[in-house]
Amino acid sequence: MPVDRRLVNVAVKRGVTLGVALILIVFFTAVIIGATGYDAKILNALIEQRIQALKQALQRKPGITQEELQQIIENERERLIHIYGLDKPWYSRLVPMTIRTFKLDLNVTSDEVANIAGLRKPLGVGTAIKAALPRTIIMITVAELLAMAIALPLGPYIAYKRGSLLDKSVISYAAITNAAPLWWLAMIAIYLFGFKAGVAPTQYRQILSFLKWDQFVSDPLYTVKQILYFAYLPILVTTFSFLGGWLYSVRAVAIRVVTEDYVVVAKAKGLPENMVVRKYILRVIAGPVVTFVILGLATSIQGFIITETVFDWPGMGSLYYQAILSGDAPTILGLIYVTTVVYILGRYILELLYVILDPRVKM
Amino acid sequence: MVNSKVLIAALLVILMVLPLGASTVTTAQEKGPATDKIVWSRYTLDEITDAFKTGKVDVYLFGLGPDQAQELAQTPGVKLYTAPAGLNDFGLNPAPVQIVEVNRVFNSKEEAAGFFGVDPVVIRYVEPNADEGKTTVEFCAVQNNLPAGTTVVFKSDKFNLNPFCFRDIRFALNYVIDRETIVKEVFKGFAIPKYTFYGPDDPVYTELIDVVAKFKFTYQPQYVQNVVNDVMTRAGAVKEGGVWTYKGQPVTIIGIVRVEDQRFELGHIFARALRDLGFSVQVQELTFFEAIFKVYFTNPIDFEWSFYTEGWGKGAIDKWDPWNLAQFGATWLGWAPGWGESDYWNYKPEVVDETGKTVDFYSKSTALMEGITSQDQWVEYLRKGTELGTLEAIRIWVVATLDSFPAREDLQGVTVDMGAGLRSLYNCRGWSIPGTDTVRAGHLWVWTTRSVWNVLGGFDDVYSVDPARCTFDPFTWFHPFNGKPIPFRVDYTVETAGPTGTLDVPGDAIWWDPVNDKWVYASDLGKTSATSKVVLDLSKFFGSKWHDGQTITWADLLAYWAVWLDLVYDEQKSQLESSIAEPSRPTLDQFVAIKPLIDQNKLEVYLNYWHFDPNYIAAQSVLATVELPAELILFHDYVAFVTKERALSDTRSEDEGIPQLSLVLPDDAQLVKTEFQGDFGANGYNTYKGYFTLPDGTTLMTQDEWNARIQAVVNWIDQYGIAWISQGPFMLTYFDKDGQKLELTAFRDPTYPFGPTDWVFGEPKPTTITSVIAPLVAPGVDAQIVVQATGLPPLHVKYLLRDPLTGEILASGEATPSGAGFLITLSKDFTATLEPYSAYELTVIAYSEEVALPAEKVVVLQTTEAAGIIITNVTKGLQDQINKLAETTAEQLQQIQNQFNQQLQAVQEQFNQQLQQLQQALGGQLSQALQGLSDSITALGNNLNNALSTSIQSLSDTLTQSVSQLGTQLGGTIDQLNSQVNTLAQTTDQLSSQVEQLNTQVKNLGQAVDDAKSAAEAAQSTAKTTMIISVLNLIILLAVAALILRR
Repeated sequence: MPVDRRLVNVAVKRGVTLGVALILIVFFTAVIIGATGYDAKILNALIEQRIQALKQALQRKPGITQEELQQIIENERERLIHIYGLDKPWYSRLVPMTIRTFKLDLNVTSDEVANIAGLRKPLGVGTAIKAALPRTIIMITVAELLAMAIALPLGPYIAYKRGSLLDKSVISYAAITNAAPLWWLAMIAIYLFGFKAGVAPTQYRQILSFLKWDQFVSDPLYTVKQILYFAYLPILVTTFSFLGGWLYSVRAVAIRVVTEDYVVVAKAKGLPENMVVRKYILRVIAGPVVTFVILGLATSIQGFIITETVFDWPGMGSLYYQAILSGDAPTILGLIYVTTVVYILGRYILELLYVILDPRVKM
Repeated sequence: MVNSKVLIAALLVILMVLPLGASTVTTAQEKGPATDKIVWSRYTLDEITDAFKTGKVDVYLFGLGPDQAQELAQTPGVKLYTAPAGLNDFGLNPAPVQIVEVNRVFNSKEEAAGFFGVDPVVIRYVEPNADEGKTTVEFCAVQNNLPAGTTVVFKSDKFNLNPFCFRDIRFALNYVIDRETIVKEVFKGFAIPKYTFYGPDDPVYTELIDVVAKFKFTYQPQYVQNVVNDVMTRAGAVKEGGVWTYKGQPVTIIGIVRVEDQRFELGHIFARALRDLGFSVQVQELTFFEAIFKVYFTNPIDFEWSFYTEGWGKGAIDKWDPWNLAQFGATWLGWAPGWGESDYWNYKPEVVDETGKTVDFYSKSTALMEGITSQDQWVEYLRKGTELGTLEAIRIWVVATLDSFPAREDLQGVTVDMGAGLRSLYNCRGWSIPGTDTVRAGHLWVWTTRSVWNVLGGFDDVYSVDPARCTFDPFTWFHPFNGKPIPFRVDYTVETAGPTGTLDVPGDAIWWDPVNDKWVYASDLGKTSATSKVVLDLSKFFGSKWHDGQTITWADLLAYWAVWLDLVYDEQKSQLESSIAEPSRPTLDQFVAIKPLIDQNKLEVYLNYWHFDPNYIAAQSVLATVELPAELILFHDYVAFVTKERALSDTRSEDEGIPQLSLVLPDDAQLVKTEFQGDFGANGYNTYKGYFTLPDGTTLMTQDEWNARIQAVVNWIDQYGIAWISQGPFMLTYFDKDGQKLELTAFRDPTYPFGPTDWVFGEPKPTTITSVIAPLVAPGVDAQIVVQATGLPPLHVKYLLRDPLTGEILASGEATPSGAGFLITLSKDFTATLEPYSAYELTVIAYSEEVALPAEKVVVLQTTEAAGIIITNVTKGLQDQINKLAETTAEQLQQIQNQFNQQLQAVQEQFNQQLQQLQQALGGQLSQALQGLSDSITALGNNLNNALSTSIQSLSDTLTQSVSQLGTQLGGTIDQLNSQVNTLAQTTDQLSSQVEQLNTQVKNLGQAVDDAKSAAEAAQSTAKTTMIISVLNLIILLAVAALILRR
C-alpha cells in the first residue's frame, strides 16, 4: 500500500523532527531562564522578603540578642537558599532540570502558583498543571468546540450566500467580537447576569469544589449540575466571543471555493443547497479547516490570563502568569513543556491528516 | 384525696413552669457571640464593589486602597471603617563617593577638612582609630589632589558627587514634599501626613507629640533650594543651565519607583522636585522583585539607587513601641542603608547630642531595655532617639496610609482596632445584623497555600489568622485603641523585683525536663530565682468546654506548654523544626518556672522579664494561649516527630517534601481520625502521660478521660470533616478550600464565660479640641490660654509655641486642667522674651491616654501690646478732637449769641435814642429823623450781617480745620492700624472691631458737625427773623406815630 508506506514514512520523519524540536525548546528555555539570572533574581528577592518579615517579627520578641537574631536570620537564609537551589550555579541545575522537566518531576516553588492550583505545598508541577488544565478545558476548549460546531456548518453556507443580509450580519458580528476583548465581555456578563439579574453565579472559583473525582462518584448528577451552573456563563461568553472569528475564518476559506466553476456548475445543475455546501464546498475546504480546528484546540489549553482573572477561574492562563511573575522556573518549564507537547502533537496529527486527506501532499 | 389531687396539680404546674423559667434564664444570659453564624467567603477586589452594591456581602475584611474606598464611600447603605495600614517614605542612599584612610587621628570633620584643605561639608563621616593612629574619612564629593599619606580605600566609578550624602540636603528635602496635597490628591484623603517615623497612627505618639511637632515640615521649595545652593556650592559643584555639575559631570540621582500602587505617583512627584532643584534624575519604574533586588541586594556605594519609594505594612499596635525608631531612625538593627551586611558599606549616624550620644544609643536602650529603670527614663530616651533619628534624615516620610474596611451600615457590634481595623479579634464576637442570624463576611482569600491552621508552625497569613481568632479566646490580648495588653480569658496580678532585683522561686514550682520528657521541680534544674512573678487566674478557662463538649482541664494547659517547650529544647525536635525552635528559644529562655495552684485555678509563672508597664510582664508570662485540647496538640508532636508524616513548619515541609499539618484540610482531618482510631488513640495516653503529670506523680487526666476525648474528636471529624476544635465563641463547622468558603457557628455552651457584647469596644472616639481662647499677649505680662477638648478621659493637652519665621520652638509643655478647661500659662518672664507686634504659632495637641487619636490645632498667638497702645492713642486723639470741636463750637455759638445780643442791644439803644429824638423833634425834623432812622437801621443791618457772616465763616473755618485735622489724624491712625493689621495677620477681627468703633466715632463726629452746622444756620435764621421783626416793629411804630401826628 503506497499510502501506508507514505504515511509511515511521514509519521517517523515528522515524529523525530518534532521530538527533537521539543527537547530543544525545553532545553533552551531552561538556558534562557538560568543564564539571564531571571529566576535567581526573583528567588533572591523572594528570600529577602521572607527574611525581612522574619527579622521584623523576631526583633520585636523580647529577649532576643542581636547575635541570636543574626544567627537565626543567617540560618534561615541559608535554608531558603538551599531549598530554592540558589547555592549552586545555574548551569549545574540545567541538565538535571531539563531531564526532570520531561518527567514532570519538579516542584512548584512559589506560593502564588500553588494558590492558582488551589493545592498545598509541596506541590509537583505536574499536579499543578493537572489541576489547572481541566478548568481551562471546561471553559476555553469547550467554548472553542462549541464555536467550531456552529461555525463549521454555518461558515460555508454564509459564503455560499455571499452578500446576503445574513452574510453582512455575520461580518459585523465578527468585527464586534474581534474588537471587544473577551475579558470585557466577561465583566459585563458577570455584572448583568450575576449581580443584577441573579441568574448566574458571582463567585466562580467555587466550581473547584465540584471538579473532583470523589465528588463526582458520590453524587454524579448533583456534581454535573453544579459544574454546569458555574460554567455556563463563562462558556457562553467565550463561545460568543470566539464564534465571530470562527464564522469569519471559515467563510473566508469557503468563499474562494464558492466561486469555483464546479460549484457554479453544481448550482446551475439545480443540486440542492445542502448538497452543494456539503459535497462541493465543505469537502474542499476540509484541509485548512482541520488546521484551524487542531491548532485552535491545541492553543486553547494555554488559557486566557485576564479572562480567567475576571472569572476568578484559576486555569492555565493564570498559572502561566503567576509562574512568570513569581519567577517559578520549574512551573514555567513544566508549562512550556506541556503546551509544547500538546501543540507538537496537534501538528503531528495534522500533518498525518494532510497526508490522509490529500493524496497530493508529500512531506 | 382532695389534698393529693391538689398536690399533684400543684406539682404539674411547677413542672410546667420550671422549664419556662429555666429557658428564660438561659435567654437572658445567652453565652457566646452576637450572631448565630458567620459565612466567610472569598471576594476578589474586582468583585467586592458590585457585591456590596447588590447586597451579597455584609462586611469585607481585606483593607481597600484609596480608589476603591472612594467608590464604595459613595454607595448608599455602606459604611467605611478606616485603620492605619502602612507607611510610605523615600529611602535615601547617603553613601559616600570616596573613602580614604589617613595615618593621623582626626576627631572631627573640621580637623579632617583642614588637613585635606576642603570645606567640612564635603566630609560625611570621620572614624578615628586612636590605637592604630589612623582615621577613615568618607567624602560626599570625590577629591583628586589628596595629601601624601592618604590611602584611597574606595572611589566610586559611577558618581563623583552624591547629593544625598550631605545630611543638610537630606534633612532639607523634608521641606520639598507637599504632604497635605499628596494626602488629598494621591491618596484621596485616605492617608495621614507623616513627618517622621512616629505619628498619630502610633499609640506612643502621645509621648512624642511635642518632639514630632518640632519637625512638622511645611512645603517650602525655595528654602530647600537655598540649602542645596549653599551646600553644593561649598562642595565645589557648579550650576550650569539650571543643572548641577561637579568636575564637569552632571550631578545624577537614580530614583527607584515602584509601579504597583500610589508609590508610582509619589516617586514621580519626588523626582520632579529634585529636578527643580537642579539635579539630573533618572527614574526607574520597577516592580517589587526588581526593586527589592536593586535596593536591598546591592552595596549602597555601588549606587544602583539614590532614592527608593519604600512602603511598610503596619503590624499590631503596641503602646510602648520602640521599634519604629529602631527600624527607621537608627542603624544598629540593620535597616539603614548597608542593611547590616558585613561586606557592604553601612551608614553610621552623624548627629550627636550634647552628651555625645547618637540615635543608636537611645534606640538600643529603649528596644532592648538596656539600662532602663523606669517609664520616665524610657520615654525620655525614646524622645531623644526620635529627635536624633529624624535629624539623620535617611528617610523622608510622606504618609501613613489608611486601609478601608467596608461594611453594611446596620452591622452592629463593630470594634475598630487601631492596628487591624475590622480584622480585629474583637469583631466577630460582637457582629450582628438586625433581622438575620447570619453575617456574611468577605475576605480576599479564605485559603491560600500559606493558610496553615497549625498552632505551632502555621498561621502565617491573615486568611487563616482572621477566622481562627473567632474560634478561640487568647489568654491576654491588646486594647484595640491603645495597644496595651489586657486580660482576656485569664485575669492576672503582677509582682516584680525588676529591673535589677530577683524573687525567690518556691521549691514546689515546676519546669519541663526535655531530656526525660516530664515535668520536674524547677529547683532540680537549678531554677531558684526570677525577676518577676505573674499569677494567672484561669477560672474562666478551666471547667468550661471545648467545642466538642469535653471539659477543659489542667491537663490541657500542661500538655500544651510541654509540647512547646519540648519542641524548642529537645535536641532532636529543635533540629528538625529549627525554624520554629530557634526564634522561640530566646523568649522561652526567659521563663524560669510555673507553679500550678490546682484548687484555686491559678498558675504562678516565674520569669526573668521586666517592663515598666506590669501589663507587659503579664502578657509575656503567657507562654502560649491554649487553643487546642491536649489530645490534638499532642497529636502535632506525634505526627511531626513519631510518624513524621507531617511537618510543623513550612521550612521543614519544603526541605523534606512532606506537607505541613493543617487541621482544616480533609486529608489531615482524615489522618487525625485514622491515628485517633489507631496507634495514637490506643497508646498515646501512655506515651504522653508525662506531659500532664506533676512531679509528685499526680496525673491530671485519666485513661477514661483520654478515651472519651479521643472519641469526641473522631465524632467531630465525622460530623464536620475538620479537626479544628477550640474554646472560643465560634466553632469552625465548615471549611472548603477549593470553594473558598468557611462557616463559623456560635458556641453557646453555658460554661462559656463571655456574652455577645462583652468585647465590643466600638469605634475609637478621637479627641477633639472644641476651642482655644488665646488672648492678646502683652510682653512682660502673664498670659493664659484656655483650651477645651473632648474625648475619652483621661485627657491631656500639650502645647508648643513656635516662631513661624525661624521655626524655632520657643516654649512647650503640658496644660493644667481646670474648671474652665485646660490652662496654658505663659509666665511674664517668658512673654517678656516675645517680640511686640508679632504673631507666634501656638500648636495645641489634646490626647487621651486611652485612644491613640490626638487632636491638633494651630492658632496664632498675638503679642498685641503695641497695637493696644495705638488703639488707645487713636481713641484718645479722637476724644480730644471731639472735645475740642465741641468746645470750639460752643465758643463760636456763644460768640455769635453775644455779638447778636450786643448788636440787638445797640439797635434797641439806638432806636430808643432816636425815638427819644423823634419825640423831641417831632414835627419839622421828622424827615431828618426818619432819614437818620433809616441810616441807623441800614448800618445796624450791615453790622449785624457782617458780624453774623464773620462768625459763621469763622465757625465754619474752625470746623473745617478741625475735621480736616481730625481726618488727617484719623487717616494716619487708620493707615498705621492697617499696616499693623497687615503685619499682625491673625488679629484682624479685633482690629476690625476697633476700626468699626472708630468709624462709628467718625460717623458720630460727622453727625456732630452736621448738628453744629444746623445750629449755626438756625442761629443765623433766628437772627435774621428777629431783625426783620424788629424792623417791622419799628415801621409799625413809625406808622402809628405818623397816624397820631397826622390826626
